Amino acid sequence: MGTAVDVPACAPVDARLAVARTAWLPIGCAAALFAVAYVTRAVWPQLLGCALLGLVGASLLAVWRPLRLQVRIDLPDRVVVGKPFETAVVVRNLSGRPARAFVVRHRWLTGRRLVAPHAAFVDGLKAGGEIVVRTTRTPVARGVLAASEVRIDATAPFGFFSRYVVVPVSRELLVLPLLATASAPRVAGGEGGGASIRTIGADAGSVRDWRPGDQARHVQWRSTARTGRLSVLEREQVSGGALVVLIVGRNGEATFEAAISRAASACSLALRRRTTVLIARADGGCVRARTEASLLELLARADVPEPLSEAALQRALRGAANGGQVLLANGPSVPAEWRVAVRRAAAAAGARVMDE
Amino acid sequence: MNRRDAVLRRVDDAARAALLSAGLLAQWAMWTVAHSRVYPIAALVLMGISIESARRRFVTARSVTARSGPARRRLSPRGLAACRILGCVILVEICVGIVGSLQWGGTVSMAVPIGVLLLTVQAAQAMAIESRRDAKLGAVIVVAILVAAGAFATTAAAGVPIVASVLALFATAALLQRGTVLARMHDVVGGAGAPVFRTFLVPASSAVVIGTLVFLALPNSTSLGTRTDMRYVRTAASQGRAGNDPGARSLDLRVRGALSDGAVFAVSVTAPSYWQGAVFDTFDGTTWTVTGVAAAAPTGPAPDSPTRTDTVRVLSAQALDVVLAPGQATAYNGPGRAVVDADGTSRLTGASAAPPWTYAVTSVNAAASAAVLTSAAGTGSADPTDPKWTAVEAGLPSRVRALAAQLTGPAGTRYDAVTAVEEYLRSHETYDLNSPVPAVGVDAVDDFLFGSHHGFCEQFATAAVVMLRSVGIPTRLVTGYSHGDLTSEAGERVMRGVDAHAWIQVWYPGTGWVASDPTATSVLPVLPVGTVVTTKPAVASTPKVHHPSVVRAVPGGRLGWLVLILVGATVVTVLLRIFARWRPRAGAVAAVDTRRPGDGPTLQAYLRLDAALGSGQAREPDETLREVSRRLGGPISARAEVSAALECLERECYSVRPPTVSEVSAAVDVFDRLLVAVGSQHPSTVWTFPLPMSQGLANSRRTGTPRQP
Repeated sequence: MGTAVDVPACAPVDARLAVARTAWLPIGCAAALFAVAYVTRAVWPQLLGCALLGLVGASLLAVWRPLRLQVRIDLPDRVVVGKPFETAVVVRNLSGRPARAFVVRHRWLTGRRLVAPHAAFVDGLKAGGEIVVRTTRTPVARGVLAASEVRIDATAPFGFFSRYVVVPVSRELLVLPLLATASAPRVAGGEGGGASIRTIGADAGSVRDWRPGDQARHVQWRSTARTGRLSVLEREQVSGGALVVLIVGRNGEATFEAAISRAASACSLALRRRTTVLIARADGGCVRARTEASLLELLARADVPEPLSEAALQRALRGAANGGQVLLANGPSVPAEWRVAVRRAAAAAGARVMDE
Repeated sequence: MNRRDAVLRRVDDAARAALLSAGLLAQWAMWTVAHSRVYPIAALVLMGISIESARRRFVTARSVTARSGPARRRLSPRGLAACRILGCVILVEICVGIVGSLQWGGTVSMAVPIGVLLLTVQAAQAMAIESRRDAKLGAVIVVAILVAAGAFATTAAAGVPIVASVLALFATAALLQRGTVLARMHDVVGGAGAPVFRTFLVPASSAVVIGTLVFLALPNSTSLGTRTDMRYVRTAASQGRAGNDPGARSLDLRVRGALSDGAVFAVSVTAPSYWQGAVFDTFDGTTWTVTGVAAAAPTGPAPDSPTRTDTVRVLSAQALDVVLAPGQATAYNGPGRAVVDADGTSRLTGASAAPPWTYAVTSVNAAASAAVLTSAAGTGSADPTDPKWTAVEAGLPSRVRALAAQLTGPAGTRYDAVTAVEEYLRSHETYDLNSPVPAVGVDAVDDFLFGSHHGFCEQFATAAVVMLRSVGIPTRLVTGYSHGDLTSEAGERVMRGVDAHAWIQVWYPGTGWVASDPTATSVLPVLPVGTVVTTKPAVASTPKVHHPSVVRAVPGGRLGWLVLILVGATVVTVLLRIFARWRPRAGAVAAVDTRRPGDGPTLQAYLRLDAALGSGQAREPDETLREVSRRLGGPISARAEVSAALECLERECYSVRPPTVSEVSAAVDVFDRLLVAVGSQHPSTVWTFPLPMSQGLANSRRTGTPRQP
């Protein structure tokens, strides 16, 4: 996750006055009561009408004088799906008088709600004082949040009037996908089939059951003792070709997001095994992920809602030619025919499509 | 429970208390306006209902909808509440009779049935308060009660509870608004202690100051009275009707409408049947007016004038501005000050006592026998010199004059002339309270005599006055009350609004103004000359002692018993309901804290998620949460997390050992993340979520404070 970056404090702004729609109701009722009092010459309707106007007047008086506030927000630039992160909104009262209770809201302005908005009630702020509103939120989906805003509402008593100030925050927030801890697709090799060019790496891959042909020196005795079955430590199998990841689907679909999480895990594993990982774009071009951080960032920004065209597919699969692998991370909206086309194109390019 | 929940709970409790206080003070205001046993009973009912409903937390409107269950065929809780309120109102309408037919101890006051109606609505609405919006509606009902109290108030005694209730309503409004804001917040930051006082103290004080300044700034505030002057309420039914205002200074013959059945005053059963109020002297063809000018306080009776002194018990809540007496009042002993104008109307000012109040009046009753009246001389120096007593309207059609001359021509004496006119009217005209209104520009007398031939006492009396005046006989119109009700209270004659009547007074030389009633079916008794009837003066009068029957022991007789039984049944039902909730459940662990303040945080979070679900993701009615949890799972919340959250929800709802604070926080976080995911999903999402919780699950929930680790 990225480091928190202070968004510079905005220039002091004056809160604007807003009138609620319900403000006209007591005024209308008061007028009616005054009319009744005039006709009946009774003091009680007049008294009630004045009480209603007192409500409106007290509400207006509470927010009549504008507030000068300075707002600063501490916001990270990268977060991970499912992992909580903290934001801090600092509000300083530059007015010469104490501020009544107000509400601090922070929300992102994108169409997709990746992070829930947060609202905190501040029960007053003395003149010159400063208050920090800390929130811990958890992003629910990967993506990019371009802009957000902090809105401060000073609602008057009885709710007829309010003063508000909106502070835009242009800091981008990147929500990285969560690495799936289980059922990540295995990257090439180990089962006796697969890539035509294989080299045995020095890194340990995984533990599997002994098969005829495995060397005794590869037996993992600790796992054998624990499971009661002969287990073999399989060394890393490095493929000669690159790994091309085709991410196609509608952002936000649960199955698609789960597939991306698994793809992220698989790609991260591939990177550790020094496999070239390429992320295909909608036009067929590929972007190489050199580090895990860049991989996650690319996956977070991936947005290919429609299946690649044939030409784009051909272009994308060039990177996996001659022994490379293709990893599909698709949503349910992708038609099965396109998957068949991918397999056909991969076979023609000499690449192997990995099962999810 | 985090700080926000704690503050919200305190604010909501304070809002409920303020609303209850405002409601009770409003009921007190109604009680000062019209004393009735129903108000203390209603206060107890309201307190019981409010205490019982205070055990349930306020919920948002979405939560209420979600809890109504997946089957939309059933009524939502709000619909059920509306039906309950409607049923209560209909029941009260039937029992009380909102048209004003209920009698309460002989005094019929619309304040009581209207007050009962409003109290029923208040109690029914109090039972249905589930959200802050419902509480705001309750405040509106309290305002309606205050308006009703002000409308029927006759003294300043209602001011104290009205002002106090308004202050409580200020506090309620401020607290409800703060609760509405806090309910949408995730956290509360800053602020020292006493958030409740800070919420309403300053705003309510500001509202009081501003309201007072506005009141003082309005130009007519200081000239308003504490009594609603219904005389100035311009309605067709009440304009110019003597029955609604015995001291009216004008009488429009074109006005129609029902008279009030309320009691106005009561006198001894042996008192005369006719009680006069205002004397009208000038008629313009459609309207009578009083032009008499107030002269001086009434003087003592003339040496040879028969007088009588009667005690009048005023029962009307409407202030009396004229002294009602069997004849012309010569002495008045009671509240206020009586001044007799030049025409004999006794104007009363300053009599603003709460009913019932009593005064004694001495009056001259210029009654005489037929023989005396027959022998009275006709026109001459003995007639009053003021020409208005023989003046007729300028545009009087000639046929009216001709008819009058035709009827009175053969009469040798004034008495015979009066009798002839009255007999003609009784035989040729029809008494009809719904007589047609003459067209604009048409003389009312001409229309009555030659057009509609239908009218009531005002038309009969006016026609008699006009015809007699047209032949030079001094005559005037008098309004007041006649006959009355002899069955309401033993030994009393109760005059009601429907007993309002108009008759005439004819000047007989040597006798004075003698009453005569030309209205069909009316017979004005003629007392022997010299009869003087005096009653005990008001100061020395002792109250009559009655021994009423069991039925009459309750004001209103049988109807009163019916209402008392219904109110008693309502109170018992509410008490039983409260008792049933407080009774310990069988099999409960003694160590368990049985205080269930409301929805737990996990359930609240689940209901938020619940409310965001759309159709097509419904849970089957027979599906449990555990079965549903097997269908959940996704990248943001592992299946194990969702299962743990649902298990936490189950424990919060059903288990005798509630979950810990950390478990609750984790579960709330899972539900909130799912909620956000629901909002960001494509409509064709494959996510499946549990349905809105069934009503059975919601009803059987057991909530509590999470146990501290």
